[in-house]
Amino acid sequence: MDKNKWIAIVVCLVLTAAAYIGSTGLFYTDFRPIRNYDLIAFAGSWGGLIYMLIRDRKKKDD
Amino acid sequence: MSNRSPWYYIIHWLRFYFGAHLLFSGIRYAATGYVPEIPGIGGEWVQANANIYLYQTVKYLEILTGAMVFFNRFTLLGLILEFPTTINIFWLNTFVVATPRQLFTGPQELFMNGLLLLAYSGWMYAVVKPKLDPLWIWNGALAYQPDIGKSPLRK
Repeated sequence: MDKNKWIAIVVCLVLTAAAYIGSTGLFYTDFRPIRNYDLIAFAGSWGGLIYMLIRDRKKKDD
Repeated sequence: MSNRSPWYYIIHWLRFYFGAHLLFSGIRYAATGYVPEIPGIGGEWVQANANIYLYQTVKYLEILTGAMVFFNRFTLLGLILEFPTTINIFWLNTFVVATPRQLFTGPQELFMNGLLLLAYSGWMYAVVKPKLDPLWIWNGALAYQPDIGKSPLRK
């Protein structure tokens, strides 16, 4: 895990937070609990990213 | 895009997100027939689409494009096929329905599809030229030449 991968993870966390706030209405409108729709998208995106990071763990960057 | 760049993983994260988002939306409709309740003229428009089977077509297209994007198979083609639907969702949510949450989800849809298109369109850049000769899709192998855009069949 180099610095650039950590930067990517932080940006993805920010995007996740933005999607959570946008979907639930937290801070800006009536709160609606997070939907399965969003949870599946979060699971897919984080699962995919973790898979890629594990896959690339030993690969020399090019 | 170098896999040393943070963008490489950010774009892949977004690709997985958008793909899963489309797959869920399409499969939910195929499995349950779920149609969201949309107030006002936006809802009437969606109902009219369902009456002429366009809504159903779009949902099944979402399963196809979602799988293409999520599993990274023909990703750019999937993003292009999904873009008309994205524009519809963006316009409907942002300017027609325009409730606070839809003011977020409309631009969000355009942001996801649009950023992914930008991130993958480098592959198209070489052929987006002011002057382009026609080239049938089945002659596509002939496109791989230094002078891209000029038909290799033209003498």
